[in-house]
Amino acid sequence: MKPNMKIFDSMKEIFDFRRFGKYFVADIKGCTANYGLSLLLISLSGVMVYLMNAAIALLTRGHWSSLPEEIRFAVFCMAAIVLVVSMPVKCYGSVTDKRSGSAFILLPASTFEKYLSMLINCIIIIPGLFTAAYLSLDWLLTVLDPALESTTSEVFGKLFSLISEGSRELAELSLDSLQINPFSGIDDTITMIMVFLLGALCFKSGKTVKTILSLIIVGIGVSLVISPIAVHWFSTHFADINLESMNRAEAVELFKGTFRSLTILDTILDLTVLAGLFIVTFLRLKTIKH
Amino acid sequence: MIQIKDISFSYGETPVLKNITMNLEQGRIYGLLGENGVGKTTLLTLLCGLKKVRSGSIEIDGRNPWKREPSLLGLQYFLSDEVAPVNMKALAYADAYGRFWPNFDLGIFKEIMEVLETETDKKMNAMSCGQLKKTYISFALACGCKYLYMDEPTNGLDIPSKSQFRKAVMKYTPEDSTILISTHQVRDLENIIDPIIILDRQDVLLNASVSEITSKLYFDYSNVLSPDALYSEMIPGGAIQVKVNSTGEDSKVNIEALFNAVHKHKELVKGIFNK
Repeated sequence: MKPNMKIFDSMKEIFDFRRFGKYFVADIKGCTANYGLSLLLISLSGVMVYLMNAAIALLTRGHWSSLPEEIRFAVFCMAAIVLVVSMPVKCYGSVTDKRSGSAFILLPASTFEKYLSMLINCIIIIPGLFTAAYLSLDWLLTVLDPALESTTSEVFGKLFSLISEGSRELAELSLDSLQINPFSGIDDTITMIMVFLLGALCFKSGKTVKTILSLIIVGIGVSLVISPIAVHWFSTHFADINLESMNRAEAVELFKGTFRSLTILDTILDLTVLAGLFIVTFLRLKTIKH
Repeated sequence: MIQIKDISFSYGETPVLKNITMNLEQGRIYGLLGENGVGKTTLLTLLCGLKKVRSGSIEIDGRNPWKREPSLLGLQYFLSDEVAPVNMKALAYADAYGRFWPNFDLGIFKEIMEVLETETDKKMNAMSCGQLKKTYISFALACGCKYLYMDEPTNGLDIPSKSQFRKAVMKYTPEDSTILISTHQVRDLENIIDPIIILDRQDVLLNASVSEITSKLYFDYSNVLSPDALYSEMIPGGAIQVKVNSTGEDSKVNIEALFNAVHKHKELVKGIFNK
């Protein structure tokens, strides 16, 4: 066999478009069977809360009552949290089960294809479907109920503009291109999805609880390491500074460099954690045994 | 061809398989026998790539199953003792997942399901244990795999299905396939397994074809008990005795008696077959 043919064959063992397409379709069918109903219920949660609120108002006060936009936004956030926590477990938690996991591992597709399909479903398809369904129903409510002033997506818009405004203020601190990105919440969401996906692939039982406990333990551990370093750093660099005697311009000048460094550090840490989660999840999938 | 070279495996500190070496040839239906806990299921899971050997090597057509390469996965199917009750209808499941095996035939799946009297439009998580097993058996056979590993396939099957299972294995598996069946229900599979492998704790006591076994051991069904029998047992209508075949006379293997004889005289039987 020619060497380039050999390379092509070994590449096909890792990724093949046709096989991936087949796997992706089968994976979506599996996710629909395992999580379709839950996704529908979570997407309907906004409407359900709206109707419950209206029903309670009708029964107690005798008139129709609409939900304030802040509460509708809070309901959306809660629904999104429930989705992030429950989706990976319901869709892929069975990988750790001896019976279902064996079938998953031995299905003739590469680990990379299974992993990629998992990521696309968990990060793009299912959250996308949820957002589209939830916001569409929310828009429908605002069309049907004139008392509702704005849709949840409009509340999002307002929130983003507020953050942007805040970041413009921060830009005055000469942060140049390092402004706060109003979409930074997306990478945090992906990180949380990956955390719960990894938990679903690692823990055999009590997946959600154990993942949350692990998060708490890691959080405490990181704080225990970082806090003394931060305290030491601030006490050595800002020990002799009396903020009360400074005007705003002086304070801005003083903290400019620190804020810039912290923003860079935060971005690097976020990306490192996310990359680490991607790698560890793949390795877990590749080495899972039954 | 499957080549197992000097493999060892342990669960933590507990060794299960130790220095196991054997070759499994194509076109054979191997019966894998052994007491509980000797590592029959472990061996099957090592062969299909669900576990990794601690030492030694397994090569299937020159490839390592632990790498889980799709091209090798497409040549094999592992039918586990416990199967998953998927939230899908049997036919939808077969249609969605069967396409990953290059030789999968949905028509054969339906045919076997019909023979085993199992509904294809029933949700798998609503099936009884036996129906679910039959669905997976149908799927496994419809895959047309070169390597088929089955762990206790007749567990949970009703009496007619056991006979249909034997017929289906003979009819629907390709001529050149290597089938390895681990079982305690030797009577269910007595007529289809050949060669027979008997695993012991960390050892292979026997790996021989039926003709080889009958050339070296004689299965005596007469009523007269012989003192030099390796194993004897009273059965309805007489007795079964396993003796060393010194006359070259032909006889029909009784797998249960063979198993007991091998276990009773491990070193002697190993010596006879390693000559």
